[in-house]
Amino acid sequence: MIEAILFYFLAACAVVSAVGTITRINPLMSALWLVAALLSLAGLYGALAAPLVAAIQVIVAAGAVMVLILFVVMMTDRGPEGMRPRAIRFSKMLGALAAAYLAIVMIVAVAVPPFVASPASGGYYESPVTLGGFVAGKYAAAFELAGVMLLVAALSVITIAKWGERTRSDDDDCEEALS
Amino acid sequence: MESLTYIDWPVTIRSIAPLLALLGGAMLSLIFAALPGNKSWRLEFWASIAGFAAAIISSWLLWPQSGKGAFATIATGRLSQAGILIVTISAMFAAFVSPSYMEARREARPGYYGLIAFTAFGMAAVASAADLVTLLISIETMSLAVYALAGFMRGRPASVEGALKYFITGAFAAAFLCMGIAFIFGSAGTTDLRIIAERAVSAAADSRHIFLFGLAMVAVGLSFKVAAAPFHAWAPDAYDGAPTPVTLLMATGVKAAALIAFFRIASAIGVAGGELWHGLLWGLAALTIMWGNLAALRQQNIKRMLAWSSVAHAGYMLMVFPSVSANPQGLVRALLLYIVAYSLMTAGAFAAVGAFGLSSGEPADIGRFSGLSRKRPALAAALSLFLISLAGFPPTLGFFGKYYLFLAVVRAGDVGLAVVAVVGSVISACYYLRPVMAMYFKDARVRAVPKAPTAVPAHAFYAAVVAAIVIAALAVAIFGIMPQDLVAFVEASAL
Amino acid sequence: MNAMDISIAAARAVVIFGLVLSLIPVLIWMERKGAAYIQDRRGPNRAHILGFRLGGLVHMLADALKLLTKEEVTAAGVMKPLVFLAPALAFFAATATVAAVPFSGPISVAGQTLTLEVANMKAGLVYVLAISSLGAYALLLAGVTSQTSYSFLGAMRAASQFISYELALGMAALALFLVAGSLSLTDIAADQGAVLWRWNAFRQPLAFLIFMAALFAEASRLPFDLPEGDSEIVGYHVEYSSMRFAMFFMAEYAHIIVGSAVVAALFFGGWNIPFADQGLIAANAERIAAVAWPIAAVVLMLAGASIAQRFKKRFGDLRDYEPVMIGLPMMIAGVTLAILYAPLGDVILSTRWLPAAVTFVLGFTAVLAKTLLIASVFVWVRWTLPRFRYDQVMAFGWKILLPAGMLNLVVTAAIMLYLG
Repeated sequence: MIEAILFYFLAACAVVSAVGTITRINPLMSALWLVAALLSLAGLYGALAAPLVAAIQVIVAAGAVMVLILFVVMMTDRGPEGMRPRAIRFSKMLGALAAAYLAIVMIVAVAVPPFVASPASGGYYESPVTLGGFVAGKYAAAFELAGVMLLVAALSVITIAKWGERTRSDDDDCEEALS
Repeated sequence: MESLTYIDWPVTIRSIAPLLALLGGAMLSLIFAALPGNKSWRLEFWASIAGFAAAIISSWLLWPQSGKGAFATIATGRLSQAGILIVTISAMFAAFVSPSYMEARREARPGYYGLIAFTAFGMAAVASAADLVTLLISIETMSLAVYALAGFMRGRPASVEGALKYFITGAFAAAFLCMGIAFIFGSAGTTDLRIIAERAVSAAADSRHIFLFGLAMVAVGLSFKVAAAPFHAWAPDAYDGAPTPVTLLMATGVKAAALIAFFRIASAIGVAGGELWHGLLWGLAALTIMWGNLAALRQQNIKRMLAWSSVAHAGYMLMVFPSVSANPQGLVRALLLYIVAYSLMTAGAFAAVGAFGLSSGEPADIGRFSGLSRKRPALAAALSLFLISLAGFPPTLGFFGKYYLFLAVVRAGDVGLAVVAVVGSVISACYYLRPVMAMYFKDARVRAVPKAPTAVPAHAFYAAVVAAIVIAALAVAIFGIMPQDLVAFVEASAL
Repeated sequence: MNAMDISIAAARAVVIFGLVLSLIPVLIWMERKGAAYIQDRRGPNRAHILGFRLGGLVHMLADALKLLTKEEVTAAGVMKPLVFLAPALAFFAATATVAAVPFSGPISVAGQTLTLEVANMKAGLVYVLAISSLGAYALLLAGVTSQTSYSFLGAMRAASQFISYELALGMAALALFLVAGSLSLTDIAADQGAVLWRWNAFRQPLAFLIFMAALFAEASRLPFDLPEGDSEIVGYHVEYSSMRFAMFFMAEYAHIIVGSAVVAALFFGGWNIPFADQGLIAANAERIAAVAWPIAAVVLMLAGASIAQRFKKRFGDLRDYEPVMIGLPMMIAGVTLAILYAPLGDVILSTRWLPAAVTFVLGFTAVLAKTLLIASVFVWVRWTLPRFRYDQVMAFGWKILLPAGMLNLVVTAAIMLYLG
């Protein structure tokens, strides 16, 4: 009973925050709603007896969105004045329809049991040792690949950002302003 | 915990040797890129080439022995090795065309070859992913590097625009893919494609909504990557804006890798999709063929034309998927053969366009090719060969590719789709032949070519470009006349 | 979960959070006194209630009263809900971490073993890192929603400093995970045991230094106090007043206390007393209590006497009588203890609960002492070192701490692999 209440509360939080994320005009507020949505998800993981995953979710979400806020939202210099909501377009209606469809599928997902037993729960993902066993065992290749992916991401950013080095880019000005 | 300590290292390393070779080349290139100054540009080039060569050799050696892989998440069978060979060779083409192109535009900056090599690594990993998690991560690895490459010439607004469109739609596609994988995992309880295949077949008819939804989402995500209509909108701008060697890579390797991954998913779990899956992919393929070909008709810029043509070709290759469960082996043979043919002729075409662009700059309007046959007959002949092959005239490789593909599709029962493809091919002849006509039957407009290129330009590493074009042309011509060896290779790979 | 479990959980939560909250004024007092002595002053010593000054502790009460009764000013044009949210979030992030920290060793009561932290999590270390990473949002919210340039600058500095040093913090903590084989703080503390050189501060000296440095930055203490930087930009809280302003400072001190408790558990064996094993203490509980009781009585009497003899007519009001008012009750308590020893001693010394009680008290005292000692290092450093420049902060975090942490991790892993 408590679990059900907790689940519906956290799920409602997640949905409301997600709606907030896409409806706020101010990018900062949007990012903060995103944090709220991700934290609600972390709460759901916790409710599913996976505290380790929940904690990692908090670390990753908090850190990643903080970087997003710092280097994207703050540097783009588009306050609420720069952003105006546009009229509802066909694409938005399409998006709304897709979202509605997704919601229906989600409800079906809850109502109709999936065709195999859901993954083991209840302490299975609680232990760091279990998770470590996955990462170092079955999914070792995927884990290493993820490392390469992050390296590639860093390399991509550097090659694009370094372009202005010869001239002198605006980025330097930003750094000076910050320091 | 024990798995780390008791790994059989020789077996592990051997089974993923091509991937490790590509990664090694990329790392070496990256280390050279980190050296101070800009003198290491050539070293980076050679490092990445060494990685490609090592990958090709090791993959070729591994190909005959369909050994069991060390990882459950990485397939090491012949299909993977063939895929690795295809994507690595296309990356090598891109690398060969790069030095002169980038140096001529003063864009020879460190990191370029590292990105190319990492793209090759990502593509190879995509082609050998046997698990949805591995697939997602390797697709992202490949894409992240290509985003940066597409926007590498940051000084050109077109490049930035194309890269940005590519990046945003690509990120969107990745979200779709991720969501679809989550749904599949939620319904099947695993991300291992083989186990999903087993469970999907035994699924009860009324409880597959979630699974089907996930499958459709994955299809959408992969359709973005292969640029299938209606998820192709980024392709013309991105292809046009990117440096031509990168366009080559995007059109050949990236597409080939995504198609092989698509095939793995479709053949493993498409069965469970039933009529819905069949209809969805049928429509996707038909729409892509028609849209790509019709839009290509109107293009004036040869890079945009080739971009639309690559959309159309993605449609041809997608024809394999609707009925893939009916005859997986026959269809994958046709698909592989077509991927090889398409990669070779597209790589050759873009290499030739790049070589042409060296002397006359961009945008490469088709009108600029007027009279090329008299000024640079070899280049004109090679480009004509590739375009004719793309159109599918015999006796080129393109003809055989199309022949096998259409035959396989008809045998699998999708006659309507084959009809659509034939109509599309007929339309495609119109636009493929326009540059050929311009090159051979029109005089150069003096206004359009201010400095008429009379001799081969003295660019650094121009020999590499020539080599790339010659190799592609020879392959297209020789395999077009004598396709037996290639067909044998492809048939063995499909086993 | 029956009523017993719930009450135990509630008791643990009340004890640990009560401890943190009551240590905040103590730490502020330590800070002010420490600053004073380092600067050759006497520090706060005037305020009194009925003559009780308690060495300046009453000043903290006066401060709290002042802050509570001051007018609450909220600037126009701020994003109101977020402005209200920020201090609460700061306080939450600083205190919630303590749930994973053991405040005494495991005790066995009625055949059960109780671990003494609020939530026994297998991933306690990850939880600590997760919650403390939320602290950055509080500062960011405070700074950005105030809509002032100075607070904005402070928030930017705070956020970038947080995300830079979090990595080093995690790297240092990961090495401990390798050593102990567990992410639970209780397990890590238990793993170190009572042998002094098995404590992680000695087994993992590099990790200890990195962790401490990163902790200073996370708590935005000098030499990393750029987010506040009172001499240049004042900081992210420039628009805050009254109790909300105080919340930020309480959060900072709570951060120090909780951070010190975490360091005590991670690097100094938590509840372990050097060379006095838990089992040893439990086995000899009766002897320890039998000796400690008379010693406590004597100490109370002597200390009371020494305080009381400082009575002198200096101020001409109630403050003059403070030594007597404190010293005399202490002496009386000591005498009472000594008298009670005869009739009650045997009864108490033979109860079943005694081993558990003695281990708990000794472990709790050890944790408290270690925490306060480490917290005093924060005070000491603050009044000794000057502030870093911003680029130095960034370079130190990314170019020194992070690579050092990685190196430490790799070397530790190699050694662990070699030792099997």
